[in-house]
Amino acid sequence: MKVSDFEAHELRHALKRDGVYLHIGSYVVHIKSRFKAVAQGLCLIYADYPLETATAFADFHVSIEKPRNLRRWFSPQAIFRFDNFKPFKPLPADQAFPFFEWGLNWCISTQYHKYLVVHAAVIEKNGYAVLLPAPPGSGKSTLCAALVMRGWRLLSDELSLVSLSDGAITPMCRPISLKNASIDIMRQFEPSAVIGPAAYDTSKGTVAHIRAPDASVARSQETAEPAWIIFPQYEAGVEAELNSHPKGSAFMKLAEKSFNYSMLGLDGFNAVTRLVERCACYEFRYSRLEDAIAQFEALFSSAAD
Amino acid sequence: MYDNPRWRADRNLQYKLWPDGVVVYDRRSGDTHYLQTRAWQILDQVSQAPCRESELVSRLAQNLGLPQEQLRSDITSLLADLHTLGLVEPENN
Repeated sequence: MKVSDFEAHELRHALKRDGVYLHIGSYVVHIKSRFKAVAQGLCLIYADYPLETATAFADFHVSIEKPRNLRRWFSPQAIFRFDNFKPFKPLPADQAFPFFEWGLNWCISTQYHKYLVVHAAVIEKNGYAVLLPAPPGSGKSTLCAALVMRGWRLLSDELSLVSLSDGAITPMCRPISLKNASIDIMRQFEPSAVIGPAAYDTSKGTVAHIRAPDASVARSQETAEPAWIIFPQYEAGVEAELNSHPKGSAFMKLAEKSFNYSMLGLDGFNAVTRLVERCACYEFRYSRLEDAIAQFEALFSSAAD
Repeated sequence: MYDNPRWRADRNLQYKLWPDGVVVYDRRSGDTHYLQTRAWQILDQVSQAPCRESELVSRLAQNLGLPQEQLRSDITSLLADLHTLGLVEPENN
């Protein structure tokens, strides 16, 4: 069954009781929560994802709970647990759904060591995957959202899972996290995009999640071959410009942006080496999304020729 | 520290050469280093056969077709850097 097969109240009840088992690509998350916002977020943003309510195997067991002290009622808070462990301090209750998203990112980046986990968005077209590693504020998520709204397949907005054996990218197709001005930019760019409620005053400012395209979710088990590594940087007013980036430098940037490079040891070194060897590397400056999309299309066309 | 030691490379190093430099992975420490050309040339020479600094200057000068005086201070400084990073060590250690 899919999330959309459940009525909101059924999902909320299941989340409160024994939890639900959400299938996201190659992994399963067991989620428990008494927060209405979490049930609503799942209904709206994860509508197309397979879901089970019967006990099943899960890679991650998480919960977003209400505290048992006075913070349940006064300035209410949300607590994130992973395997009964609290890796973070509580957050305001109105950030319960983004907390689930951030917590799940943390679970994957700290536990999923069968992959090299790189802090990068990944999109794909006709078998060619593009990695977009970038620091916060670079416009990575906005660019990624715009490209998937124009037909590129979303593999991940945040974490690239690179196979240690063959270098293929495993999808982790989840909602794209938009921040601050990007939320309205995407509303205008693609009015049909499904964007969840905004959470205000988070550590990242105002945050909202945009639903991954159905077509991308449907291909969540399909790996892709990396073809490009592009380091994007938004700069107001600049013309879109794509320049070759030296590979040795690209290696070091990717290693820095990998959550488990050091932990993987020689396997991490070999995985980054293989990734950089097989990809063309670029740095990309842009200001207008339509120009950026045109540049990506031109790059894709040149490779397809 | 011995005077004028013969330098050798750490045997636990894994290299990847790129057009803009060399990435070196040290299996012993788990550290990764990004070396520019000249530092790599020194490490490469020392990896092939342990040698003293004066021999290194002479070999590189011959290989690169440059006067020894032009290379000497660079090599002294880069050798010290490579030693600090744990990529080369005096053979008597």
